[in-house]
Amino acid sequence: MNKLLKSSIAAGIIVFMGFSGMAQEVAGSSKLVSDDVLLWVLVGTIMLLGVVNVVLSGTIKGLSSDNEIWKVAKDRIKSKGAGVLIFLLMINGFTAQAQGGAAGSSFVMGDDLFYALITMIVLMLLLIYYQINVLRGLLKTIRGEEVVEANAIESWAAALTDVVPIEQEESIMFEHEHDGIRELDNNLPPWWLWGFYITIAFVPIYIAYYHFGSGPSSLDEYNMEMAEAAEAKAAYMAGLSNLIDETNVELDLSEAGLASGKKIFIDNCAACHGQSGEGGVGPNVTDEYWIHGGGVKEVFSTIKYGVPTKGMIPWEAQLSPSQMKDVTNYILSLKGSNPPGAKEPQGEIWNDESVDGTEAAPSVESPVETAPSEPIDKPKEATENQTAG
Amino acid sequence: MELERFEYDNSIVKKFLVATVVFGIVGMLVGLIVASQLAFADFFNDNLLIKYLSYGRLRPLHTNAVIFAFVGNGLFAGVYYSLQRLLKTRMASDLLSNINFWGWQFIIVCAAITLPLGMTSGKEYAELEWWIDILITLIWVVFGLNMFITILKRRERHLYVAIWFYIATFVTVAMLHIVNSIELPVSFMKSYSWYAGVQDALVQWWYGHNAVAFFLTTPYLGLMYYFIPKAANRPVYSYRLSIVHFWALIFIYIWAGPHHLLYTALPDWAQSLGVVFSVMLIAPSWGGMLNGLLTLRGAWDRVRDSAVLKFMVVALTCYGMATFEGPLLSLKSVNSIAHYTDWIVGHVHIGGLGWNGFLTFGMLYYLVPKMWRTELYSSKLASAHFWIGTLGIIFYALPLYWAGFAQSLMWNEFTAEGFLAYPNFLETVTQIQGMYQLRVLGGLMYFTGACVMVYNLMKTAAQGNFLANEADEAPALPTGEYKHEGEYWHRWIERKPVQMLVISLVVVAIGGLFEIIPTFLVKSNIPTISSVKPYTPLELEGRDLYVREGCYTCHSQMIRPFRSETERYGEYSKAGEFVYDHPFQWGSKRTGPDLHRIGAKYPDSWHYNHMLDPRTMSPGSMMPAYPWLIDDDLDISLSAKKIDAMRTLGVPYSPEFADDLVLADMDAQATKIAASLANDGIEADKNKEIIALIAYLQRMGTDIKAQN
Repeated sequence: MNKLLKSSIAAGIIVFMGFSGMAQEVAGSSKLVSDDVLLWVLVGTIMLLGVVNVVLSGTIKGLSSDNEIWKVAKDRIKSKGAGVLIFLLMINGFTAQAQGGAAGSSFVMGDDLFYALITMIVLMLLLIYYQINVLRGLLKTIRGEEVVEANAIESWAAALTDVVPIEQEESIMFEHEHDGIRELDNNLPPWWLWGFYITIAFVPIYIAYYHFGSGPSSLDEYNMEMAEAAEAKAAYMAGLSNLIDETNVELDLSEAGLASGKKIFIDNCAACHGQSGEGGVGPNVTDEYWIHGGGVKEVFSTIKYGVPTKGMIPWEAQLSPSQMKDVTNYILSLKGSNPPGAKEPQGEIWNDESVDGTEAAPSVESPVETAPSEPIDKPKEATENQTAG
Repeated sequence: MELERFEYDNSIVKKFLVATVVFGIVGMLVGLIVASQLAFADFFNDNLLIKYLSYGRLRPLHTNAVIFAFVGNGLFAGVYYSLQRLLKTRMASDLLSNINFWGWQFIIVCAAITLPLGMTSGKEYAELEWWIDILITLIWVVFGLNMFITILKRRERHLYVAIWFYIATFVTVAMLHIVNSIELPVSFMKSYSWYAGVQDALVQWWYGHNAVAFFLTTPYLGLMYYFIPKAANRPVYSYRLSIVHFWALIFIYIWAGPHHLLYTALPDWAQSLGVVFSVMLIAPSWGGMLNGLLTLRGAWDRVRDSAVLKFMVVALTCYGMATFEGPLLSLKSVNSIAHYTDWIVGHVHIGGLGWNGFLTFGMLYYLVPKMWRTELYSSKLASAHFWIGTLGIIFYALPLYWAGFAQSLMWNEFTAEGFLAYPNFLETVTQIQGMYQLRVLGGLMYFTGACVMVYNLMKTAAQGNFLANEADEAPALPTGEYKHEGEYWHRWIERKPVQMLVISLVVVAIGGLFEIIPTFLVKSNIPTISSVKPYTPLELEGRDLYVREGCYTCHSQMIRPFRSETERYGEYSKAGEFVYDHPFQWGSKRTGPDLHRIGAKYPDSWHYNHMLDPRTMSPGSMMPAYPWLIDDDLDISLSAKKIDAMRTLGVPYSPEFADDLVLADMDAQATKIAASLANDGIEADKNKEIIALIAYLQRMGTDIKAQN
């Protein structure tokens, strides 16, 4: 999206600048805008604008160096002119800097740089508009015409709204009336109309990018997200020592671990196994009977991989290894606590000596059973007919 | 030219006005109740657990009441008032007007009875059952006929912009309602959507989105075009803007429906169309706002004093905000944050409370003094209503925006180890309880304001003298062709109501056809998954219970392809998984977690206990309890017929699978579930509803798991 946004802004600016042929090429290419192209387009635009800036400021300077004219024009444009000149110098400095920065950067366009360049372009366009106004004032002064001092904001507003003032609205009033309602014939507000055009221009760019260009589909985005997450996780895990899993987990009844284990148990396990492990929907975990083994490795493994056929969900996606270790230890600490309302024993009596460590492998692979019953005589072609209902 | 004398029918307007006010109050009250059910879940669960008033049944009642009863009557009132005056004629037929009125009220009463009873088609904003759908169609046609005959016998050559909007409203709502409501009845109480899964979703949101457009927006824009210039006594700002934004609006709006289904199993190309047309919709929507607000140029001093104008200005502002926010929410990146959260609920209430509510209030403050020929009883009270109402909107929306962001952030946060930071969905719900409570406060303020208005209007009416038939005069329309030299090209169609109707229909039909037909005909849009099988009869019955209880009002069945969703819920949802879902139940809001992969996740006994009292299985849950599912026998009288109906809809049950075989299959599956419950120490009767619901829940989303 970010990429698209950048491309759209860039393309919008290019269109605005009149290079519509170039914009089409950019939008249509298979990789909409690679970072280096984007960089060159933006930097090129800035350089171009910079040239225009310089030429305009030179002209203004040249004209105003004629003292006679400058004197006349000074009162009207003094503040503007001075401001522009200072501003111009600053901008040119910035441009040079940006170019330097841009040249030094690799082909990856960072957000900061991108928005800095865009801001620059917008500022330069504003500046050009301003310079042109000043120049116009100067020229009129030279020609000895009357200068109507138009407030910049007002003239902007007038250009954007193109509205007939209320005092003159009779001139654009339709004769017709509907139940006393009259209508004016004001032009479409230009800012609105241009906004509409821009949103319309957004359509081919968006469709081209996502359906004919390199734009990712919903599933591409998903795959990228998952790949990034896996990478980040791997990097994180690599930095950790002593990864706990069912082969190396040890009984540890230290206080801190048990407290953490208790909290995890209450939050996640108590719904089925009871607040004190007395059992409920799930079995009692405080007695010495175990269905899937009662050693620390076995319990850890049951928690980690679950027993989906019986409704015990796998927790490895929700609890970290150390959390699973804590809750395992907490459960084992409950042994023999005999809570009230304990569920009847299920499974077999567990004693650690009865099994040697190697046999503790859990039934991870057990397939998930699905719907309890199926429709009788389901035809084989069932799924063939289902499209285009 | 000789003037003809005639009288406007004010009494039909009065009837609709009264109905607007009454159902406005009722609809808002139901809204307050459902908001309170979320905010004070424990209280309702402990004290007010009533089958017919549970959230899943009341929420559709709220939406239907405010949309079709409040705004519906409001638009009829406004149209019946303005149409007569803009055309300089009385409504064509008082009889048709009254059929329109009483028929519409009858439909509302039917809705108010059937929805709490759980009779629902399970499609948002189109919940009413098949026979009510037919009634709606008939009454809507009566309205259109009445309007059209009136237009044909008008004394005004050109149709004013308000009437363009009325015409577009009429044809488009008719089209949307009929196409979306095609259902196969199984009984008086029950029907199945003709469409399934992805296709049903597309049709439904084509309808749902455009119900907002053509029931809540275009008729109200028409009203705005009448009442704002009248109340402000100012000319409409720009006739050309009216033309451009009218045609652009109705053409573009229709395409934008798929933005309700971004990142779902809907094909990407349809989603993209939804995105781009939503973005293009900004300017046409704002055209209406601009034309309204700019009409007030030179009259802003009057806005301060006029209750009518004050309400209308806020209405237009809210309209502008909502129609800017909508396209924003349609960008996929924003949508991935906001969808399923309460942000959306906040968004629609800016439109509902601000645009429709306030415009209606403004209209009422205009019409009652006019028709009762008096001054407003108290402009102070009107002003109080305005402020409390405005604050109410703010207090309603802001907490929900906050809640929406909180939900989204919590759903999507991961720990460094790559786990969900809030794996327990409940944490994300309890986190926003306070916001739900604030929202109730906002709603209460808005409601209080409306009550103040009712009092004010009643007092106004009491001090006035209602004029049932208002006399006016105008010259008859000369026959023959009529054309001004140098007139606008658009003037032509303003003289041709029939052409206007037909062209509007064509313009609005294009978008729908372009999106819907390929989705139905092109096989690659819904790739087949061979392991997906039809539901068993018991599961189907369970699914009907799921629909009846309105589970979709809080739970989605659509896992989007996001890491945060596949980690939380499981494999993302595929188009091919829903091919037997008549209707689809993807939902649009996650007050509770997604349920698409709930099947085989928990034991049967977990579901049994959870439905009996959710708090035993997830402490702190705000879900209502459903004890009646455990007490009530499952009605199996229609089970065989339902299988037949599904077969008619193309679900591949074998022809022999009927009658006794169906019942035997149900019994076998129910026995199995009861046995599994007994195994966990729960003595459950296999004939109860809960057994069927468990069957459905355990099946959901598992076909694809089996394949893996």
